[in-house]
Amino acid sequence: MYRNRKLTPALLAVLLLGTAALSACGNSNGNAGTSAGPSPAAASQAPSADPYASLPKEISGSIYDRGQVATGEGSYEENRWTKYINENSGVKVNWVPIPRNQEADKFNVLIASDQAPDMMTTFNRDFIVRWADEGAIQPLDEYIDKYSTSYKKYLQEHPELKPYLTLDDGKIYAIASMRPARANTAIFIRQDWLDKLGLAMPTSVDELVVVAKAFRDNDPDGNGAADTIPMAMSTAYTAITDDWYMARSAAWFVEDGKLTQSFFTERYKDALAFRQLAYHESLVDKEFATDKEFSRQKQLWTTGRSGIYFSNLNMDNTITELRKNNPEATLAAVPPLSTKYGTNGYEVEVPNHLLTAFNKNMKNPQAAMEFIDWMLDSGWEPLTYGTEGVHYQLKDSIPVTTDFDKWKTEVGYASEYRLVQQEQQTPEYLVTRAGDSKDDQDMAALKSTIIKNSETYTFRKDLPYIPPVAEYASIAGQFETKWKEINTRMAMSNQTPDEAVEELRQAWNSLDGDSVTAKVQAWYDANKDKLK
Amino acid sequence: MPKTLHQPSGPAAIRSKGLNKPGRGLLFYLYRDRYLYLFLIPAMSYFFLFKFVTLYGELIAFKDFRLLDGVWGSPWVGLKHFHTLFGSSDFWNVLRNTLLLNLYNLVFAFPAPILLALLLNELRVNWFKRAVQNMLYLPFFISWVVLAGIIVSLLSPSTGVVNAALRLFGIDPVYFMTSTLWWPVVFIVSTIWQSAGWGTIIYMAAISSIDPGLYEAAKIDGATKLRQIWHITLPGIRGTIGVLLVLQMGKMMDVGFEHIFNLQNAAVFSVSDVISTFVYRTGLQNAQYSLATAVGLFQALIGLILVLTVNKIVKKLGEGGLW
Repeated sequence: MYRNRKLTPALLAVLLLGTAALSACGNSNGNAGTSAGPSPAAASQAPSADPYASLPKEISGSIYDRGQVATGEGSYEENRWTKYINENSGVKVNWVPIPRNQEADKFNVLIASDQAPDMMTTFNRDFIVRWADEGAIQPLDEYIDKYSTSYKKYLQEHPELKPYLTLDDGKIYAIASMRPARANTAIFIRQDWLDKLGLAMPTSVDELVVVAKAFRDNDPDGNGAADTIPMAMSTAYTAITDDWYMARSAAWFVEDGKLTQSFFTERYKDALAFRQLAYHESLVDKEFATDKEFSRQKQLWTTGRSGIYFSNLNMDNTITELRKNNPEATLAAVPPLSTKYGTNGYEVEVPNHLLTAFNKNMKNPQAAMEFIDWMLDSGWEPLTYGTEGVHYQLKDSIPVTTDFDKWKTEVGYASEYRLVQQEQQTPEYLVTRAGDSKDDQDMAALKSTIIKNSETYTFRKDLPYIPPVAEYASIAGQFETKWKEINTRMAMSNQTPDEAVEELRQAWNSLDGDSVTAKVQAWYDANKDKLK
Repeated sequence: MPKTLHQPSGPAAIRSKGLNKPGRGLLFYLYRDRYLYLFLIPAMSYFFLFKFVTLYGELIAFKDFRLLDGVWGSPWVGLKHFHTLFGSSDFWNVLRNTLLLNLYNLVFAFPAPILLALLLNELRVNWFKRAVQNMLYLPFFISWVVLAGIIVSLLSPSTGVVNAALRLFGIDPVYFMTSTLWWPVVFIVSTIWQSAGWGTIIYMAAISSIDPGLYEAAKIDGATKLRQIWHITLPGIRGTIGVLLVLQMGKMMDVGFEHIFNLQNAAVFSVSDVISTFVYRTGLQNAQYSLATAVGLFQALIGLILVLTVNKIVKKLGEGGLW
C-alpha cells in the first residue's frame, strides 16, 4: 500500500513534465504542416534562379512488389535493373517496394507517417484523387512545362490521356503513358479437352455451362476419376461473370440518364444467379470462400484438374506450370459470351498505364522529371526486352526473345520499373516478338486473340473512371465488404437473387447510399460533356 | 498472509513519518533514493514516449483529420465521428461480435490454461512433463498466417483430416470455415490451441510457490488428489487468477487482429468482423483516420471501465487485484 503513496507523486511529476514536452511536440508539428506549403510557391516566384540546379540528383520512388524477383537477382530495392537505371538515367532512384495487394494500407501508412517516397506510382486513380484531396501530392503542370521535353511532347501527342491525369481543379496530378494493351480479363479453356469430348467452343454463357457440365461428368483428363472441377477462379472471376451481364460489382451505370450502382440493375440478378448455379452444380471449387489468395484455384488449373480458367491477359506464369504437369495441354481463349442482354466484350482498361504522382515534400522535382523523360525516351526498352544479344535479337526492328526462360527470370520483373513506356502490344508485334519457345509462342497467339477480341467487341463502361466524389469514396470501402459478403453467402445458399439484392439495398441504405447517389449524379451532370 | 506481515514493519513507520513532516515531500524521497529512481528512467521513458505522447494523436477523433493540415491544424468537429459510428448498423454488429467472441474467450479459453496447469502439475515423470509442456508451447510461436493456413486445410471438407474422420462415422462433411455457426467455435478452439500452453507458465510458477508442507499435511489427513487440488492448489493460485482475469477484462474490447484477419472470409463476415478489423479497414485501407481513431478511443474507454470495475470486484473478493 505505502508504495503507491510514494509512487503517485513521482508519477505526477513525470506526467507534468510530459505535458510540457507534449505541447512542444504539438507546436513543432503544427509548424511543419504550414511550412511545407510555401516552398513550391517560393520556387515559382523565382524561376530564373533554378532552385534545383545545385541539389543532388537523387529521388525515391514506389515500386509494386509482386514477389517476382528471383533470389539470385537481388531484391526490388536493388537488382541489375535498378543499377542500370542509376547508371544510365543520370538520376539516382531509391525504390520503396509496395506489396501489390496491400497498396492501400502501405501507401496510407507511408503518407501518414511522412515517409512517402518522392514518386508514388499506382494503377488506382482513386488514390490520386484522395492524395490530392489530403494535400499529399502536388500539381505537375509547371514541372512538366519547365523541366520536361519528351514527356511534354508525348502528352501533346496523346491528348486522350489528359482527362485521366487531370483532377477537378483542372490541374495535372499524375504522369502516365498509354497502356501497352488495354485488354484485361480473359477466360482460357483447354482446347484439348474440348476436342476430346467433341465439344464446340462456347459462344454464350448457356453453352459455357453445358461445356462445364460435360467437363465435370465426362472425365476429360482421362484419369478414370470424377475429380474434375470445371472452372478455376482468380480475382477476375466475379469481374468476368459480372461483365457478361454488364453489371460489374460496384460500378456506376447510367440507366435512363440516372446513375445507378450495378447492384440495383435487373442485370445484376443474373450475375448472382450464375454464380449460385456454378456453385450448386459443382462447376466451381466448393471451397472457394476460404481460398482468399486464389492459390488453390491456381493449383487446380496448373495441375490440370480444371479446364476453364477465369483469369487475365497476363497469365504467362501458369501456362509454363500447366505444361510441366500436362505437356499435351493446348489452350484457347474463350470469345466474348452472349447473354439475353447481348454480347459484352471483356474488360477494356482505361487508356492510361501506371499513374505516378509527386510527393508534396519532394526535394528535387526537376530530377524526377528528367528521370521520367529518360524513361520515356530510351530507359523503358531494356526494361521490357532485356539486353541485345543476351535476351533478344533484333528482327525487322522488333526485338525477338532468344531465351524465354532466361528472359523471364532476368527481365520479367523489370517492366514494373517502367513508370512510363512506349510499348504497344499489337497482335503482330506479340507474335513476332515471341522466340522459339513453344510456351512463349502459344501465349503470344492467345494474347493476340484476346487483344483482337477487345478491339472488335465493345465493353460497356458508362463512366470512364470511379467518380471522384468524396462521399462515395468514404462509404465505398465499407460497402465493398458488405457486397462481397452477400455475394459469397448467396452463391453458397439457396437465397434468391431478389432476396440478395434486397439485402444489398439495405446495406446501401444503412450507409445513407441514396444521398451519395444524389451527389454522384450531381457530379455526373456537371461533368457529362467532359466524360464522353 | 504476506500482506499482514508487512503492515507493522518498516514501511508503515516511514509513511507516518512522511505524513508528520510536510517538508519532507516528494523531493526529499526523490533525492534520497535518486540512484534507485535512475533505474526507472528507461521504463518510464518508454511508457512516456509510446503511451503518453501518442495520446496527442487521439485528438483527431474529434477533428476532420487532413494530412496537409496536421493533427493540430485540422478543423474541430466535436463528436461528429462518434455520431457516425453509433449511427451505423455496421458498428453495432462489430461491437456485438467483439463482445461475443471475448465472452466465449472468457468462458472457454480463460480457464483452459488453469486446467492444463493443474493437470501438468500432477505429472510425476519429469521428462514426460517437460516434453508435454514444450509441445504445448509450440503453437504460441507460430504466426497466425501459418496457423490459419493449417486450420483451413485441416477443416477442408474435401481434403481435411477432421472431415475425413467425420466421414468414417457416416457424418456428412461440414464446411466449418464458412458456417456462421461453426466459425466462432473454430475461433475459440484455435485460441485455446495456440495460447493455452503458453498461459500455463504463469500458473505453473504460482503453483510451485505453494508450500509443499500443506500437501503433506493434507495427505496425512487423508485428502485425495482432487481434494488437494480443490483445497490447496486452487486457493494457492487464486490471486494469480484474479490478476490475469483483470488483465483479460482489459482486452474485452480487443480481438487479436492477426488471428481473426487470417481466419475470416467473406462468407462469415457477419460473425467475424470485430473492432480491430473494422479499424484496419476504415483507418488503414480507406484512410478515414478520424473515424478509425474514434473507434479506437471508444474501445479503450470501455476497456478502462471494465478493468476498473473488475479490479474492484476482485478486491472485494479479498484478493490483491492489480493495484
